Amino acid sequence: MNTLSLRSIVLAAAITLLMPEPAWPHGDRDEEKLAEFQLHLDSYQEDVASMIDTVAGITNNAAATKADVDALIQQWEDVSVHEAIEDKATLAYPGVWQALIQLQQAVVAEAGVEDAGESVKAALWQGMGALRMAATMAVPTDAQSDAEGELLSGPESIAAIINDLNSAVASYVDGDAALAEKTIFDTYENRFEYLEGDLIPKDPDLVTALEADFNATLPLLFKQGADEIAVRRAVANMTTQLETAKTILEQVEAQRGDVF
Amino acid sequence: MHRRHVLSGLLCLSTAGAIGCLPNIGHAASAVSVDSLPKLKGSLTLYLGRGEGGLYEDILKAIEKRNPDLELKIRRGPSTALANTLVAESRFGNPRADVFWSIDAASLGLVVRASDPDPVDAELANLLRPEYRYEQWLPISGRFRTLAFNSATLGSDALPRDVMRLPETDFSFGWAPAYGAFQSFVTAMRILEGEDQTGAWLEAMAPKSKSYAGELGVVMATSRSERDVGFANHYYTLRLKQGRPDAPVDLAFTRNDAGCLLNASGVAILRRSQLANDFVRHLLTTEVQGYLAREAFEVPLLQGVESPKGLPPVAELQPPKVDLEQLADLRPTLSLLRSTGVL
Repeated sequence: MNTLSLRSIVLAAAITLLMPEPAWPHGDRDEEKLAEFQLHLDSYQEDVASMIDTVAGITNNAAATKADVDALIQQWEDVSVHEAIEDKATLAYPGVWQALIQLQQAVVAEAGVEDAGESVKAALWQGMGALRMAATMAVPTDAQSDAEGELLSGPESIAAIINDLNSAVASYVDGDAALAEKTIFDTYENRFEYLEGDLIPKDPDLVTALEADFNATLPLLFKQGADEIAVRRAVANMTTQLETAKTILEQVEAQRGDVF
Repeated sequence: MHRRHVLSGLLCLSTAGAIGCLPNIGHAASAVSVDSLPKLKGSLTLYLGRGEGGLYEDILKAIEKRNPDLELKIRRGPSTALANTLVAESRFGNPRADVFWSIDAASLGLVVRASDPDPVDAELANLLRPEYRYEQWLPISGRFRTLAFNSATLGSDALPRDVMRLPETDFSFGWAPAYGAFQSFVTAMRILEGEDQTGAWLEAMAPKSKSYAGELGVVMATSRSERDVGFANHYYTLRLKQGRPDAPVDLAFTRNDAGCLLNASGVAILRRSQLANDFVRHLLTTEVQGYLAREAFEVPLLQGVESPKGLPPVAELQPPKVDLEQLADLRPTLSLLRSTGVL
């Protein structure tokens, strides 16, 4: 495997390690509230405001300790906005945890506490903003829509993924990096993951390279505000690899035996 | 009180790998051919958590083709999302699915807790090996946690058969902590060994382990000798070996611990009817079970159907007794992974 691919996998690991699968704790999840989360935005904003007050209490207190941050983390565990961001604004969720851990480390090190506190506030507001976007987003991404629609064959799924990539680029060029990132996330989760089983025996390197591109390369370009040329170059590279995957899937599906 | 918890104190007849059972059935009937089943007629609503490579869809197409009088209404989506939908529908008193077919037991556990369907008919439960019977849902096929090891440098005998002893070894390990299957493995360890032991295991393993984005990456790194041993579901290694028979990677199994956890896909019949029962019987035929084993390397849980090529016979493996529904309890696992610096 070449150095670039290795680097991509490490990047993928770094990003995906911050994206835990949604948790379903017993008993403490308010499914009814979640199902109507868009009706509770004011309540969620109060949660965020309350947490930001706690953050301010830490950053303004030179004698703040790790226990104070632990209490903040417990507050985060307890508030309703936690599960709403986790479930409805998944892409923003790891950022909150990351910022909280950075604050904890800063307090222990007695350095950079103010900046870390600002990062927590920013992450919380980003989560809140993502929740508002989710509440107002009238049209789901294509990958989500197809989840309830007709079955696509493997090669058809590849064509749909390429369409999604182009749609994500269009969103990014239009200035909506969040929607671009969500489109990539959805197409990976709802389309590509279900093709891996057929691709692995034929070309496992292709699968790992595409996994890295979906989970790290492209989202990082969006996050970093990369120029359009760089984004299009990355998508063109993915498209080439996806065309290879399409050819493989056509062969696999043609050779597959009958069920009965 | 949750029914599984009532049952969990009752007997499990098998000494090898019981994960849950009904109290009154001792032996599995042999799997039957689809030819022995009645034709399906009528309308059935299925919520389908997407499965491996569209193979579940192939099965449904074949069932529809064979049963032209069956009107199958399918809602597709990720298992977790459909489970959330079904929970919400149940809460609002409007469950719309007759059958929920999910790729993971945790989703099924969540749904049956919310909707409390009638117990599975004995005629269906009887088809499964006794140790794989649940009261309100039916496993369809399984997947094992395994130790993938580099067979050019190690023999399987070099690996301890106790996952908790791995920290005592000098091996290098690969894992994918962000992956749902790895988190289920750690959840099972929490259930079996307790929080403290699991935390200590993670802390001891972390310096020896390298993280990867997915479990295919773990297995490939092991085959390239970057790692001695990797934690991954069984099918990644079997698929890699299918394409690259000479790849120096093989499977080892621990015994009766989280390292050889058997997780399952399955179905819950949420609105009981003869049609729903007969539909599920189609999924438990020798043909469908053989297809899943052959094409997706999934593990049949019925008598009389062979394991996927490359996997030892199921009866020789010793998965632990774990209530698979408890694997949904991920939040403490995520906290533990974070507090130990693994995630």
